[in-house]
Amino acid sequence: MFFCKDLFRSLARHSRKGLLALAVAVGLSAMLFLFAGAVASYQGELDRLEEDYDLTLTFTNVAGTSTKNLIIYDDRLQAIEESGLAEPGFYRATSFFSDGTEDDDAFLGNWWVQTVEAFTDDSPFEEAGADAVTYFDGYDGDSFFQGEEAVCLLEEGKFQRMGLSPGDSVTVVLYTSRQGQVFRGEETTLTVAGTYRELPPAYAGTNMVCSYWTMRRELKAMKLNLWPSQASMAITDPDNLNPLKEELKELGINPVDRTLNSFAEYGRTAVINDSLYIASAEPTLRSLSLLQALWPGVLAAAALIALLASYLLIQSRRQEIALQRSLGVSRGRIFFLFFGESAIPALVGVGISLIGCGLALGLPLASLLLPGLGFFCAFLLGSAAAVLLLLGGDVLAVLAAAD
Amino acid sequence: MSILTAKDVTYTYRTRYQTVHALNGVSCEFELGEMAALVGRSGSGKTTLLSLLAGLDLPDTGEVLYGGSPTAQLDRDKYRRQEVAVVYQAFHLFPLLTALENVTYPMELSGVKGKAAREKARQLLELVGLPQTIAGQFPKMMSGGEQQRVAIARALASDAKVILADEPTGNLDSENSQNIIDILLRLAHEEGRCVVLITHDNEIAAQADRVFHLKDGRIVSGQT
Repeated sequence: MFFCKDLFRSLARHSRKGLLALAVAVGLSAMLFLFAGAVASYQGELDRLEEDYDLTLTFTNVAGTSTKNLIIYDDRLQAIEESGLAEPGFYRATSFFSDGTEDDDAFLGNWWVQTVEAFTDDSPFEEAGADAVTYFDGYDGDSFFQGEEAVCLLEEGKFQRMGLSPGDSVTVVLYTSRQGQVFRGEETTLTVAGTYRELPPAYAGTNMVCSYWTMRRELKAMKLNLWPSQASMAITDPDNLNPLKEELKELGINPVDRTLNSFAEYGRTAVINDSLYIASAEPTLRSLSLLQALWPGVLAAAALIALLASYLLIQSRRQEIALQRSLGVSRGRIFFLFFGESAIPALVGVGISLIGCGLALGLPLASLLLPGLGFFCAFLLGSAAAVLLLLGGDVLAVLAAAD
Repeated sequence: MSILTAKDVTYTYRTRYQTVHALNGVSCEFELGEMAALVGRSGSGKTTLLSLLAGLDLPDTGEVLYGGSPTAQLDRDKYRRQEVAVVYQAFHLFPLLTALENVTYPMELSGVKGKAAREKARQLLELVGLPQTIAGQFPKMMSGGEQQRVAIARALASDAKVILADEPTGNLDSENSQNIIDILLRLAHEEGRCVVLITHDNEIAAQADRVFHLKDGRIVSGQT
């Protein structure tokens, strides 16, 4: 108890030095927090830009005027997916099917009659309006388009004409085509997961809808290719922009050439909608990079000044320390007395600037805690070093020097 | 048995550029009830000897004995709190404590607090000839003589048997110097304490019961 009384009495008596220590702590730590806050602020701005912008990679025709009815190498999509630089967005592919009983020649002469569309999500149904699709029990949009099961949706009229019930399966022969040439696959069985009433006019004549992944798997098993006619991919991390452009180059996918006017072939052209994002993000990124480069130096400077300030404040009381030693006060007590006198203003000072910068300027407290702790530790280190050095000194020599 | 004894003490300290043999085989004894003076020129080893007698350091060779026990084997912090007290030329009062608080401080270190400590402090201030009005004053409001009396009162606060005074009159005029010496003599002769006094002043040294002359780290006269 006497120690606490001694500590607070000494703090009160040495209020000027205490206030000086407090002022140093407030000033330096506030500078540190403002800097850290600026870094956090720029980072936050970058994060917001990333959230607000939907960066996408879209395959187009050479002129960049159409994103549909293309012919895209599916293995190119797979290569980009496997690189991890972009994620599948909306893919569309068209294929054909027969029930296996039709005459091949007749079918192949009229192959567009039985059309199956494959999508990666149900956005075409959203275009068609509410209630355009009815899923049977156990199925919904997510499980249909992203699940592993081989499923399909049938046009409502076709479902009824075939006399099917929910949960029934249909056996079909899948076909694919390229450059007008049709390739016949093998039989496969697809579970009917629902029916649809209509699709937008762009999909007129479609009798069956599959998930893109189902069709890709089935055709691959049949050693046939899937030829997507529409594809856009999501770029979730802007840091992937440059590596992605390199990857596209290697895959032979070129940026859109607006000088040409020919229809796309084999998905060799793509556009990334990054120009606005880059125009907004790059100045922020430059500022952030500069601050981040300066940050270690600012931190070190603040810590060094804190250490020196606390060291010198303690040193200015070296005679008092020597006097305490001559009165028989133990080294440990002296250490904790002076260390405590230094720690309390430092803690209060850091706390004041932390709350001030946090509340008044709206800076995130979490980003300020670590720099604040580092600063506080540097202050304490200076105090501890000063007291320990003085405790080892010659008492009478220090007191005699004051004579 | 002497209360405080230095037995064949040597002490050397090294600076960056030189090695100084501050004490070379010094032996002396100090008794309760007497005032001894250590006299010598600057650099003769007086302050070093005082430092060793106060337990602030240990000799390189030889030993300092208090009550027959080597100080090396004592808890020297406790020794300085309870057995020996030092009075300095520059008084060295705590500037931000009042006279009363300066005197009660050593008592509080030994566990005597509150009213008992303050009462005893007032008595000690009276003993050294200070009025009670001085109790609430800070050192900067006092004269040199008053500050030195407060320093002596502080030295007595722990009931120390040994008072070591390092040039206690160095910063005082002759009248105040004599007043301080009178107090120290009274402490030695009437209260039975051991007072060891460092001084350059031969007149003051002449008033001591024994005088030890130091030169170049050795006692040249007065040695036991």
